[in-house]
Amino acid sequence: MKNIFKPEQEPEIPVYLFTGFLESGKTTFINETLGDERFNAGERTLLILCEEGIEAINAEKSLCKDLFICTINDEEQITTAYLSKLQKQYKAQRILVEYNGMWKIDTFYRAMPKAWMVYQEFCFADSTTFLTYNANMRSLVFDKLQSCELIVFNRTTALTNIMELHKIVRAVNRNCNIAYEATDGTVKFDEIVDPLPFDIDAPTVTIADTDFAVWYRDIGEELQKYDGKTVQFKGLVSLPRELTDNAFIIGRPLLNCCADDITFAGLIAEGNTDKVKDGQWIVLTAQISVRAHEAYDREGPVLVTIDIIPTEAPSEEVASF
Amino acid sequence: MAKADIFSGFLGAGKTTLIKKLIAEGYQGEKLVLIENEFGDIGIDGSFMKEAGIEITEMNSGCICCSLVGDFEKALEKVCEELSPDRILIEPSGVGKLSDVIKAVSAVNGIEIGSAAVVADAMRCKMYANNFGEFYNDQIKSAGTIILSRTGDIGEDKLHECMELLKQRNDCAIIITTPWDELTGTQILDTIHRNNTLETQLNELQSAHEHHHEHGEECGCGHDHHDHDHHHHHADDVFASWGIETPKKYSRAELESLLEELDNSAKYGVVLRAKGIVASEEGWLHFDFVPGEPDIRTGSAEVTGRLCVIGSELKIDQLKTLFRI
Repeated sequence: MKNIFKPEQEPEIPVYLFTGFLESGKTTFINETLGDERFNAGERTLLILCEEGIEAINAEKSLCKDLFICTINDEEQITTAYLSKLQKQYKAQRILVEYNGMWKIDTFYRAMPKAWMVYQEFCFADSTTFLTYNANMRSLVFDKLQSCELIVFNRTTALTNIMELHKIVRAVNRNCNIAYEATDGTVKFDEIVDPLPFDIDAPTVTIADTDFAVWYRDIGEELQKYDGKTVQFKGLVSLPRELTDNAFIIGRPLLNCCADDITFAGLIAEGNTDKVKDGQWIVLTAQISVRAHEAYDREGPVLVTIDIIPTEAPSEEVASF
Repeated sequence: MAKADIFSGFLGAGKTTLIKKLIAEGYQGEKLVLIENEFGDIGIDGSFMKEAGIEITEMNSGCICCSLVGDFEKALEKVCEELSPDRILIEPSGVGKLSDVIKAVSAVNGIEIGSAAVVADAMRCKMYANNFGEFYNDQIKSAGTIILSRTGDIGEDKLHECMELLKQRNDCAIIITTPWDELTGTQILDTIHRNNTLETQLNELQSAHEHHHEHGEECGCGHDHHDHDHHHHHADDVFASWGIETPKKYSRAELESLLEELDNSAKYGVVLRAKGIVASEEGWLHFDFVPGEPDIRTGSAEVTGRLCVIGSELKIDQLKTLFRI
């Protein structure tokens, strides 16, 4: 006889993740959240502190009745077993994590127990140090911007270069909200619209050499809108052996984070393979057909060749945002 | 042979401000080259450097994931060949290890290390040491001189806490605790270059008193030991000296009574002379004591407070208690 009972499913544990460097305002925000009645409906809450800054968690002012705080001092302590153990030990119904700005966010995501689910990931940054940190610790800034839903730039003043902050965020994350919290306490949300640098409705969508990265990201994020469009751009041909006879890869090296993080951003093109050589720069005109392709392993943009013109490499071979 | 002075320290610690001060006030008559391996907030502007006749080279690998590698050594060699400087100032990335920089610089032909200092924000050093771990502690550990910034903004307790933390990690370095605006660039440089240390002051004081004594070996722990007690025993073990560096503040009244106490030979041993410069609320106090004759006057600042005592059978523990050390 079949077991009529479903296997007991572990209840989902919401996780709220707060990232950013030291003195970026994480603890202050957590204190405010814990003191906000809208956020506190009596759940047993575990707060994991991975950083020990100047501000301290004010447990007394917290409206959260069952608040448990534990500290992780070493990135290596973050393992699935340990996180699970903490959750069970405190019978936590939700988890708040103040993450260490110098640790990779992936360490946490990889170690997260199955039942844990990140509900919100907020990133905090001090607008007065952000540009220096970004220039010198690019990989860590990039890392935290990638997956956050909201980034709060605090301590802004009339002199803060909002556009520069905006651009840095948008080069990494197009969807997150950006908030600017001024020294006087006022908060403004970023409503700057970034128009695409090419005309998506032109009969032939022409991508300038400098806009390849933006286009490549856009087609990755909003694939369907390109179905049936004709595009023209400059790229490098690659002919890996595994590819079917009638196809080639066209793309460009793409700088993601910094000089140590360059990958090849390539797309599948079909037709006229006899006209291209491996390692050759061409201007490709093609119609985009969105469909499954074995080289993509799923649905993707297949460039059906209309025209191929051999050309010189662009002045900057590596594409960037 | 060019000498390299390395100034490490986390972002925002004040490296650039310090280097500017040293160039303006400290380095005299040397052909200087500055190598920046960091993208600074207050970059040293070209016109300032031009005026000072200094070449500046920027190296674009300040990102934490693009670690200090071959390029750095190559660039240094090139600088030496093309510019043949007397001295190279290096401002490495604030998120790199100082020991790596020292290693890289030592490997370059034609350059020897002149000094390796770390600039540390006194207000934040505990927080940074706790959260940053390896690279930050490496900077502290590898430095010959720790130059604290923003000491004027914190209280004595906080400064004490910061000193304890630094000494735990590095008990050999000299720690400059005096706010920079009270010091000249020359004073800071003399400290970094070891021209003016507790050791030299102790020796001076001693040689004035010991012409008939054979001068013993220098303290066997090497020239880098400065920030802990110095207790020099000599062959006949009659004559001893004790010295210490401290940022502690003493009022004139307190210092007067302290020095009077030193006449109590039963408690402290026979003090022949005590000399020092210490901080106080009313500026810096210079004192010179010979039995029965304490002399205290106000004077110029020192990089940190220093006390030297010479005598025989000195009771170090009692002296420490007396000076609240």
